Amino acid sequence: MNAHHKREVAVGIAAAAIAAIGWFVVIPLGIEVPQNIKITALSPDFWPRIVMAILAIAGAVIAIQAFFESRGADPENAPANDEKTVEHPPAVLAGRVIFALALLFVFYAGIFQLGIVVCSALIIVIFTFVLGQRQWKYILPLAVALPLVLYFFFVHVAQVPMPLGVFEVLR
Amino acid sequence: MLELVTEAFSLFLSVDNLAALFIGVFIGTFVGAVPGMTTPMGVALVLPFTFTMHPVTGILLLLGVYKGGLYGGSITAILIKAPGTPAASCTLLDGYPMAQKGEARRALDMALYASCFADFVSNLSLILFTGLLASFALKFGPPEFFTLIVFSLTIIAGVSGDKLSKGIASAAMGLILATVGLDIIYGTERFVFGETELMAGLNFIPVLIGLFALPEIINQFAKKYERRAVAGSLGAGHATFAEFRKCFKSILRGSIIGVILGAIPGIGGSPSAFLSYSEAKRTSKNRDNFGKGEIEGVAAAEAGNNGVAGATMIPLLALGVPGDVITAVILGAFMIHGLRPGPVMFEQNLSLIYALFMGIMLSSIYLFVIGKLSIRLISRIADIPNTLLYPAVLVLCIYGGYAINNNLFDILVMFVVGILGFAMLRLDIPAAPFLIAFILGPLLEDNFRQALLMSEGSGTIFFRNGICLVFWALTALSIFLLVRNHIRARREKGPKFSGA
Repeated sequence: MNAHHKREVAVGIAAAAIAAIGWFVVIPLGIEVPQNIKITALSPDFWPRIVMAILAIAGAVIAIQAFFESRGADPENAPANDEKTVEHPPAVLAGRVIFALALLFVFYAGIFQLGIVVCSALIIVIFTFVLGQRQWKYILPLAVALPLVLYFFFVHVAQVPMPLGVFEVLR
Repeated sequence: MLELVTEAFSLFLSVDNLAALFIGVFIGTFVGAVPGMTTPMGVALVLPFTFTMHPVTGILLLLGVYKGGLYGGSITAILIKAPGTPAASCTLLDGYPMAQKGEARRALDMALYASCFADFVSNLSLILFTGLLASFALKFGPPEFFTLIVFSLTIIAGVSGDKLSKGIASAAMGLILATVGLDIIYGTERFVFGETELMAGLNFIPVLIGLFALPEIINQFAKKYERRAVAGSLGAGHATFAEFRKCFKSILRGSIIGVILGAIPGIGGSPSAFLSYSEAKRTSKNRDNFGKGEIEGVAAAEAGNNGVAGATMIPLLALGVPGDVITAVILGAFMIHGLRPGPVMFEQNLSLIYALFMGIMLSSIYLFVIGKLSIRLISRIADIPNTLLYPAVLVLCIYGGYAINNNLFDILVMFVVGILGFAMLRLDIPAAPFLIAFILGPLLEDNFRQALLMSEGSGTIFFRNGICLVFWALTALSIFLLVRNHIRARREKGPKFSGA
């Protein structure tokens, strides 16, 4: 079984596992079912259970299809990756993606203190730099202009207030 | 009737509407032209800006983005062999060879003429057929709508491509996410877990942006920096009227193919473009030149692609059922403005619908003007490096996500769904079924439960008349054809290439 098929089997098993956890754990914990329901199909948990069953079946089909296909396939020959861009090695890729995701949540926390304009400017600077851009003559104007333009549009044109954090005093 | 048209005209004719449509077509053309940016992403980014607009203005802006996106993909397909949209991959078969021969301008001109003509034909079909279908749909009650939406959910197979099982799994996740909030009948909590922000359910815009825009942004961190190909000279020659006349038969046939396939939920621009291209090749006197720079090939591909634009709105406006991801987003936009597309809207808001029709017809003219004026500009804009483009798109997402409810929680939802969307992207699980199911899921469940309340729990209500039986039969036929085609496609591909 090549890496591709192993991944597909794992995806199928994961989907079925999520469905099982949903059925036995999340739905009982997450849905309040009244005692006096006369028609089962009208129960608040009926529809979510149907969907979990569909997810479980789909997951099983994905895993089974991948398993049977792997039996006839070349175990060393995964499907060619026709992606034209080159990706970082897996360890570097994972590190970079985790960094990006962590930064998003730091940004979210930062909005409460620093406001959306300052945080957006900072995230533009950091993201462009990490992605490989080195020309500060493009990075800095973008980091300054875009958040400010959007701020003025939403606040003064669309009349949607935007959080400024500690800079509320400037409003 | 005259009074209605006059009312619609006064509703449509405003500077805001004319400007919104123009801006939408321009944005869509730009988004469609940039490889890596998709039209659903463009619509998702523009949607938050429509909240404070009049419904007609907002919907026209979104429609403009949609139509511009369908055409825009051909620009970079022809110039640098990098289609901005999947459907434009058919255009490059002959468009890029023409560019290599120094005839890029001719190819771009013909792509534009074919796009505008097909778009016009598609708009006419929308205007002529929607009303007929809507008057039929007035006979629908909850059981009929339930069976219709079940049938519509088979479009998930169409947008899943060859990944049917994964598409179904994706749709199931969308259906589950749509149940978050308070139960509509008993008022009890579902998946709220004590978080008051979740009691109203998840807003569809953070889900949309998180699913379509964020994954591409996060995925940029996986890639090494690369230089994109630079567009060469456009060439001096233009496409002439004589050449347009020569290609007219293929353009008309492609337009009709686009209308028919566009009206069927789930098909989209790509199959239509390729079918139009293959028919043109089959019937052309120059069929040996197809694939080597035949202008008729460009015309046929673009006609098929753009012919779907107006027609995909037919099921949306007439039945309230989206035909693809974009119309699913537009359905969401209608709902945000308190409108419910379908037969009821034809009774209560007919002037609004006529105003939209007028705007849709004008969009074909705008497409022509913008295409003519901005080919050179847009081909340069497409050179913006991803290292600047994607962080800018991220900030747009954040502002847009916050603007919906002035609630930072929506940004958190967007990020979490973005992580899920990124995982789906890496695992090759299609995102479109997720969104369509997320939007249709509540409609499906509500109609199901309303029907059961009417029948006091009896399931026979779902077979109560010919309309229900027809939709059940269509659903069964659709599933049979999908499974059969899926099995055949997997057998032809062989065991080496699996894409569940």
